[in-house]
Amino acid sequence: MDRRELLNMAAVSAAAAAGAGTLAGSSSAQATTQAQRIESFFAPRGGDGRHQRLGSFDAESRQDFTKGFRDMHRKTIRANAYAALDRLLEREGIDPTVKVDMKGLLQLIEDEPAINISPHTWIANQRLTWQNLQHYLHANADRYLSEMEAADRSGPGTLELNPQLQIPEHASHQIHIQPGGYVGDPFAGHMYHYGTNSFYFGGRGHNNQDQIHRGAAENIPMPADGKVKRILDYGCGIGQFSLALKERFPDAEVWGLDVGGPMVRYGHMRAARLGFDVNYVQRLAEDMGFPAGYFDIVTSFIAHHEMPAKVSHQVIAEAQRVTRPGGVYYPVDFISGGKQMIPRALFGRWWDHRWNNERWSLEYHEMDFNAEIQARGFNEVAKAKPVIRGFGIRHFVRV
Amino acid sequence: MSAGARFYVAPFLVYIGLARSFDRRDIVSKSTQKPDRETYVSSPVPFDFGAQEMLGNPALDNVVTCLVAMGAELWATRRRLGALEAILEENGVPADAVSKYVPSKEQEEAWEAERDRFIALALAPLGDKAFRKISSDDNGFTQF
Repeated sequence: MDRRELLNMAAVSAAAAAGAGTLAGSSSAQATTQAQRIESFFAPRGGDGRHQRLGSFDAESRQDFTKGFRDMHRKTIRANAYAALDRLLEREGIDPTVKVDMKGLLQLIEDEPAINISPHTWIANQRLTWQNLQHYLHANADRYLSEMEAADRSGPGTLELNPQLQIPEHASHQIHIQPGGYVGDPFAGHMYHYGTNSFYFGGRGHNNQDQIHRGAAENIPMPADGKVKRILDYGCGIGQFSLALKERFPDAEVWGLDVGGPMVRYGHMRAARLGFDVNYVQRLAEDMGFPAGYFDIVTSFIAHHEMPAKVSHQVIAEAQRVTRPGGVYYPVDFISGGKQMIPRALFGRWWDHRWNNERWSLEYHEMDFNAEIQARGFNEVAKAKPVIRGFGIRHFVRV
Repeated sequence: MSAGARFYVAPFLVYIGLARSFDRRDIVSKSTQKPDRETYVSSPVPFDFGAQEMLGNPALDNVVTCLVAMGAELWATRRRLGALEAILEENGVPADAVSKYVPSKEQEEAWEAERDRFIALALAPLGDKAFRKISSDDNGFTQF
């Protein structure tokens, strides 16, 4: 099937998949044109590699602050709060290395400012991150909307947006307290991108060149027969992992799918201007709209902890449907299955859920994700490795 | 309150007022769009920030929030000053160059170190300020 037949052309779409290729693979003339487009893309303050600087020095400075604050918070404020929690547990005669009950733990800490200063300052910094970005982007809305409107119709790669899509309630929460979430602000993609650059910096290093995503893509396992013609990255958000997969498998047809229109719109704009031929579609992961057995590799990148457990089950089943027999399924996400419910982990998980609005993370972490995948037509590969250090090992093969 | 005290407190209260008015929950996406401009957005589920009280006193929560925001503004000011000084050193650069100034790799590294020093000095005490004794023999300090 031609990939264009897969697009719902009644929906808004963009075209021009032909040509360009990546920067490294372009001809001289193409590279010049591409360089001009990238230069235009990076105006008015230029870029650093594939990172577009914010158009305002002050907005960039505030983001720089929130990044630094986050790092300090991890090393100092959170460390001290955990130490206070340990002392509190010691006073109560609770072993800090054993699993505890959530309700009892919350009752214990609710009046302890030495502990609660940690989530409070973290959330204050998180809100500041979003407020700074939202204020700047909306103050320059015409420019940023015009950029996306122009990119909608450009390639390489395609874009399918569907204003008629009924967005489920579960996908409409403002995860990470990002204003509007992934669906409610026209600059959701911009905000997510600049905001998460500081998120990754806190514990995993820089990601302004997609380093985290590229590293993960490099580790995605191949099908046993070595055939990789088509790849799907569902819940792709702004498509950084889709883009990284295209880099790893330049000859494959790569698709990014997400419920958030503004997210895939930004992802397409970024991929196209960087010269990557990736197709982005606004669809539900529960109903992907691709033929059965269409993909050789199906992935997602930290998407499942942001959906209810019952939706996760539906998505796994849908992933099984679109993966060919022998194809690889590797949904990248955190370790789950209630394996880290000692007090420190539980406390962190609770406030992240309650105050950072990780609406579905508790359900996710209580779910045995691997068992749910295994139960839906996939075989788990023995002795597999995580594609990212400290994340769940999710290497499955379609039966 | 003495006149002197009012002199020092008033700007802070003004700042808190500004910070509240700067609350971007008030920003509605549609406010900056032309009516015929498709933005592919849908209504999000509201999130209840108002229920947030973590430090036992909502006023204290607000003050801490303001402190973090003020830190960002101060850092932005200091960073802008750094850019201005660099530009002056280079001479002959138009005034609006400050807004467009891009620091060098070396400057970024130096400024990041300065940023961390500033944050540690101004805001890291938030991490130990709230210590209260957990037990009678707890001196309230933890060594790392």
